[in-house]
Amino acid sequence: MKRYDYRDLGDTVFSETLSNGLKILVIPKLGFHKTYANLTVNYGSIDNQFYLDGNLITMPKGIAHFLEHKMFDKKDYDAFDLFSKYGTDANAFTDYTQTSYLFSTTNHIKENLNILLNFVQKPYFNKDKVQKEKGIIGQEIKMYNDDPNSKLYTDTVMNMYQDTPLNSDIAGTINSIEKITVDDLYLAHRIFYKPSNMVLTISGNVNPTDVIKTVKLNQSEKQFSNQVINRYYHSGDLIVHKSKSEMNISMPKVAIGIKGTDQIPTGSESIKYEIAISMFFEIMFSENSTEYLNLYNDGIIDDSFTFEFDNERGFHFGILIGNTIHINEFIKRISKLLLSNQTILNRKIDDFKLIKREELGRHIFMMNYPEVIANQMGNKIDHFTNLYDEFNIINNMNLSDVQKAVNQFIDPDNLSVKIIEPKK
Amino acid sequence: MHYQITDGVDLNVFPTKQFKNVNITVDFITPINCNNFGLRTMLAEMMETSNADFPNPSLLSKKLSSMYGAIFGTNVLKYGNQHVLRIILSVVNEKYLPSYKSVLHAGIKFLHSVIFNPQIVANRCFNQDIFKRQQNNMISYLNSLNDDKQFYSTMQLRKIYYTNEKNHRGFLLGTPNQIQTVNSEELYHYYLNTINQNNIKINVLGDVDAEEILNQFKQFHFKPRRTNSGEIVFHPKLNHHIQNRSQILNINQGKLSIGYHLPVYLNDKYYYAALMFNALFGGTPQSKLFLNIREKHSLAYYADSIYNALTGTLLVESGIDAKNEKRVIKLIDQQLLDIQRGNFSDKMIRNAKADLINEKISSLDDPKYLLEQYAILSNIGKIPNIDRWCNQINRITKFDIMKIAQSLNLKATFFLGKED
Repeated sequence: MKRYDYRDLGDTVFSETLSNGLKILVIPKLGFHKTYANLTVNYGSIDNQFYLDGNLITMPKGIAHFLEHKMFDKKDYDAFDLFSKYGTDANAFTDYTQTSYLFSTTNHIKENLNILLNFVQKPYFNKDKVQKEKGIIGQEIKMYNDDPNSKLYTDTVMNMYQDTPLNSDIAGTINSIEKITVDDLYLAHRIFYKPSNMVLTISGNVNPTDVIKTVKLNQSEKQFSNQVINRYYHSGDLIVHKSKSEMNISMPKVAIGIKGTDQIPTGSESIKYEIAISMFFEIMFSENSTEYLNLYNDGIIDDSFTFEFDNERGFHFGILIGNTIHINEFIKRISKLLLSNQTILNRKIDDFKLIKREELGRHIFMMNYPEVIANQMGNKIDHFTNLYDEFNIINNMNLSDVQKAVNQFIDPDNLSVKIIEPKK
Repeated sequence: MHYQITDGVDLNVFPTKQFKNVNITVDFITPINCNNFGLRTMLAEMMETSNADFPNPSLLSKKLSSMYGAIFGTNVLKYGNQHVLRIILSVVNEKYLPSYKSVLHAGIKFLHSVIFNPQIVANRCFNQDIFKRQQNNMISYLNSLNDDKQFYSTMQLRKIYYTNEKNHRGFLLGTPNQIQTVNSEELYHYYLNTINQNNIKINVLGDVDAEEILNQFKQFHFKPRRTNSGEIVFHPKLNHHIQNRSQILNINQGKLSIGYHLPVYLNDKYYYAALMFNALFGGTPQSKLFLNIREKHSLAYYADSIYNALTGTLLVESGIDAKNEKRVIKLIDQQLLDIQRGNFSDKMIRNAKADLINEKISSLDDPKYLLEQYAILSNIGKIPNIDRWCNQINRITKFDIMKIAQSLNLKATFFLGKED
């Protein structure tokens, strides 16, 4: 077990990798009552294609999310049943590149950990139960399709990545999930749900030695396939620069996507890049900036305006979203700001310093929440650069780092606009 | 630690080393009155946006950044019959910062600007340009809330559930129309009334010196006031007849909202039984609604119940295919009937108890939740300790839960359906 002390920040990270490849990270929180655990599988909605014995396998879209739903359901019980004996709050979610299973509890940590590891690692699927799940997930898909903010976001991502699996909703479509079979689920589980493709993070009222002992014992009793994961990577050259649709909403919504096609470094440099770009968005588009104030005062944006930067396995993009009645002005003025980033950043040294302060403070805030800590422990690509490392990266950041990253990231040919207008 | 700063202005300080930040809430409290919905919302909006010391959103935001990303906002809330305007400020504990800065002190000074230095023109009205812009923004915001169709459905339910209660029938933040009719002179008077006449409760949670906090808030020189806050527990006058309404929209999924009267209120004798009933009926993934509407019949992704102990209401929400409306309503009735008749296992009771207790103990780690609890519970004079709370839950019997289920009264149903 390795130990990393972040003395100034008052917390310690314990790390262990088991012989089967499972990585465990434990962050005890003194004075806390609950314990939060997150078992993340490096498998998401974009992984529906892979090679097996030299052949390209293509699974129905939405399979990773479907698998997540079905993992809870066993032959004669449900994993929720087992957790609820301890009153444990359990949940799961699927993203573009990962599937996470979580629990939060105030008692019986050992028992809860065993339930978590067992239900995620021991699959059971049958035809009737798979069929039944299609109704539930069908309603989930319809729910998101009625949610204009969710629709705007996913449509923008689809436009930026037309020729990749990102061109579909994480949950798939009503038609694609209809095709999912019991065999598909077993195969996906066998290929991707192996310990070397998983990370377990635990934070809260825990003793790291006890936790690691429990997990070790649990894993020593299990066998896993040694099939190597061979992912299919899409080139992702196609981009739709503009599209429009209509929904039952009160005011038009616009999103501007910025697709990153530059090469991102690995290790902690990858996080440094990510933070630099996020700081750029803050400097340029947060309430602090005069550029924001001008857009706000001119009525081009309102309080609904928001932005984010996503950096995941195989892709990275920025997205700016807002409600506006001045659609064309919104697109024109924000695009112009994006493309003149270097000139603007040159006169932003004071703003940079303020944003740096803010980011440092916000990271300390995050350290109050075991779930945030455990969800921010990094991954293989960034060499497990965690929340506490991020604090130090921010502390050492310069404006020139931001300028360099942005210069590399923003390319005028990679902007993509999505508009949703109210139905007439 | 409790202090009275002056008549009608109270300060509670909760020292703890658990968190790396200090959380402050300042609540202005007055009895609810629907005629003031637009005014209170606009006042909160103006206070949040700028003030004379930080005269535009950008300068105000920069001030927050300089305090290491202090979190600041205003909120309008309703607790029973209390209309609360809450100012929230959260700052980092200085000891974790690379170089020591007195953030807490600066934060309290900032709160003084927010409360006492609005942008007033000639002692007469709020700055017109800012007022006009924020008014337009608030109107767009209120309009956009209806983009969330489940929210919309539940708001429509409210109108028919509270037919006789004008202060509870409409949305707390007011309608776009109510916002439109507010003018900036009137808002200035309302502002003076709020800071000088409303009861004020300040709560501070974090690693702080209570006396020091008291001294800083004493510098605010609040005027003494003798007013009532309104009842935190509200017993509404409800209809005898069940109200049903529906509406058709061009959407993918229908939205069902059902309102029941659950005549048990915060700290009543049967309060803990009511919490248990809600957990069993639709409050958890082990509840009857979840297990039947979703898991067994595969009709929905969500089917939940929410219990409000300040108004004695139980709300059920579910997103379903429009063609299944009747079937789902029948299934919900059936689940209620099952609980009324004792048709649920001891294991379900045990699990629901474990669930509520786990949730309660977990909440001790959430500063926001703790402050919310203090704000509500200080009204009823006591904050039950955690062991006592858990004991009360553990004492609940099957019979208690059946009694609660039997006391439930269906009052209103709203369904938002889909065009064919």
